[in-house]
Amino acid sequence: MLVDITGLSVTFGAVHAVDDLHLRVPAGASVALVGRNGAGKSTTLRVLAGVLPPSSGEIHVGGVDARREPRQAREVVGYCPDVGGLIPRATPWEHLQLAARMRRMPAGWEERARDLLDRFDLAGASDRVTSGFSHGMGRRLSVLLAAFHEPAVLLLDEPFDGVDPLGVEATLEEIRRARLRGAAVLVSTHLLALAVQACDEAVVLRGGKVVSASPSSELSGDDGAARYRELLR
Amino acid sequence: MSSARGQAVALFTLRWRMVRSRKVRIGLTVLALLSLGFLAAIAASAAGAPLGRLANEGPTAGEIFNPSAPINRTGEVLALLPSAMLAFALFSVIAPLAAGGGTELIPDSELVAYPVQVRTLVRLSLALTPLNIAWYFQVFVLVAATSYAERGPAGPLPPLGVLVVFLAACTAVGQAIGWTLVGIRRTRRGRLATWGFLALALAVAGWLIATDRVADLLDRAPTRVVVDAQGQAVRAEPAALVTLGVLVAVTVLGYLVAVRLAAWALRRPSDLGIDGPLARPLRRRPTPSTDLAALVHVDRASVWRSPPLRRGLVVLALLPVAAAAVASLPWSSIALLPPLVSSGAALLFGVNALSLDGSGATWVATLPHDQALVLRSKARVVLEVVGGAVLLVLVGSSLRASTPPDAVDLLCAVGASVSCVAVVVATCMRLSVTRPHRAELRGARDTPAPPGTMAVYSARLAVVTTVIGLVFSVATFGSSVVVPLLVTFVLLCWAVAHWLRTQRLWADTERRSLVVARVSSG
Repeated sequence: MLVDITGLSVTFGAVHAVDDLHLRVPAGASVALVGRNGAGKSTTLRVLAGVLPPSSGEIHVGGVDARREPRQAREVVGYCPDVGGLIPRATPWEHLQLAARMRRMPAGWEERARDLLDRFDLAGASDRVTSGFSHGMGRRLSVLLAAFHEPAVLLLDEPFDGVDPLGVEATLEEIRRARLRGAAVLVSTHLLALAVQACDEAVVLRGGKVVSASPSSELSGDDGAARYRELLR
Repeated sequence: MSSARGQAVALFTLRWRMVRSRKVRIGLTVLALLSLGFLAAIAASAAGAPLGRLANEGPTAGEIFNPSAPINRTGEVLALLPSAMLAFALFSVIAPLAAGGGTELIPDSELVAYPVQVRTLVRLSLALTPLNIAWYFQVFVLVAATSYAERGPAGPLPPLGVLVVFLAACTAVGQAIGWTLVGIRRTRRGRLATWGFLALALAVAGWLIATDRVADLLDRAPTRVVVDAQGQAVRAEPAALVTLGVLVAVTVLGYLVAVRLAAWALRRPSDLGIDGPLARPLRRRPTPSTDLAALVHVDRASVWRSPPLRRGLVVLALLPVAAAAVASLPWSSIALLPPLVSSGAALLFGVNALSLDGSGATWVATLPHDQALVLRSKARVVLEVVGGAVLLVLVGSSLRASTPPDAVDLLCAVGASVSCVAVVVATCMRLSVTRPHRAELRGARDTPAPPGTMAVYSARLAVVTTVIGLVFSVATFGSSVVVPLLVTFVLLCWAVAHWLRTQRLWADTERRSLVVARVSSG
């Protein structure tokens, strides 16, 4: 299992953002985390990315114990945060340079960087500061940065939010490529149709707990949407 | 739509409610009361100070054996008062210029959904002016000088009344000029013209200094009229009312013009989107060879590509150096400059250095590097900015010092600089880790923390660094080289210990995640 979460709990004061969550994602699989605002989707991804320490529970990513070896865990994870996630006065190329340096990527990383910038239609903006980017451009760059080092675990939080159809296609293609090379992909989104399209399994969260885990196809179409609404109540 | 006054009150109330900590609220209230209290106290004590013999008269027989006998220096103070007022007038223009029009109570980006009137923005900016420590310091000096030099049967209130109206007039006119520049700089041609004007102003200032014409110019300062009016007010002469009336008219006119100009500046289409730094492709640099160098490269770029920081750095680099060059200071005063400059440089972004990454802080936190490097990188950039500004003013003031230095003078000046830089950087990094704020630092008026917090920070830094500067200033009168060396050593030890404690705090995962969450999303 590339993602193995056992009994994860995250509390902020009296609020239980995630409450005894169990989740396993094997290599080559993609799982959609869906649910209402405040269900615990982003918090779960933040814990997996090593940004937020858990209150309790066991978290293994790519076979690494994320609590005991956070730095090693960050090496195998690529994370696109739900909001922003970009240094405002740095260019996409400078983000890529920083990632390549920190992740000890071998010489020739520039070629992959250029390929990704082309696929996400950001080549023309690669030397402009990101604070001038539209929301959609920022989202596309965040996904690109998460996938840049071909991580074993790809975590995408709201990757389709405000993104145009071509950007959505590029993101779906990146998820497909990640799965083909054997990565585990977790996608958190409110766009159910895209969640179904991108992932084989859908996990519905409510109040920090898993209320349903099923093949994503069960949430497709009008019947699936109705079932999803039921699960949210 | 509510009135400008109603909007201003509503926004003030909102800002006050956004201060969640009770301790901070109490601190802000105490600070406001203390600020007013200090002004009242300095006015009362300066007005009541014994005068004694005139400075140019020899001591009486009784005074020969009493070196602490008072000397009447009202003549000297009165001679310098117009220059001090002129300096305040210049500052009133430069401060809003540096702040991109004026101080913001709440960032523009957070008010876009509300129909806030331009008049409200100008009023708020005027009301927030005293939160600038440099403004307060100058007012403090002017109140003290006026109370000491302008004496009459009615006490210091009549001349202080004239001073208050003068301060209001300068502040209102400064706002108007500040907004004019904001409007002009919205086009490429306007930005080029601004730089051209700055270069011209510097050239003229350099020529005045080189040809020793500054003193003559100051002797003819237009602010002499205000000092004359203060004298007339002391003597209860009706002529004072004429100057007072003109100053009131200038204040009202300045305010009205500022509102018009602010409306024009904010309405004027900007070409920044197509021709500004946001749209311009930047030159690529080679990938740095170490993790720390890579982080420093991005942090340095974050500072220099931020309009408010760039503008602040230019003002900080030029203004104190020019002032020191004009004044031709003794070494005891040169030791006081590093404190002033170091705290000013720290307030640009150092007090909230981790906000440089903005929302990218979350992404940086997911990179597999030693997390201590993030803090070290920020500290290095703060050190570069604070140290660079102090070095500039030290070199500038030393070249124009009134006397050649001896070993003690040099040690005191260098000791004050090194100590202030170390203490300020250590304090900044501590505040950055313990009191993080979300700050865009994108718009011309953006600051690294809310106005009240900035006022507290500036007061705190000013007090600490001024005390350090005074210690070194007093040490210049002695002959021992041990004193400045010892003080420098002690302060460096304190700064290092403070820095190590901050690093330990940063090493805590929970603390780090809290800071990242605050600076990235508020």
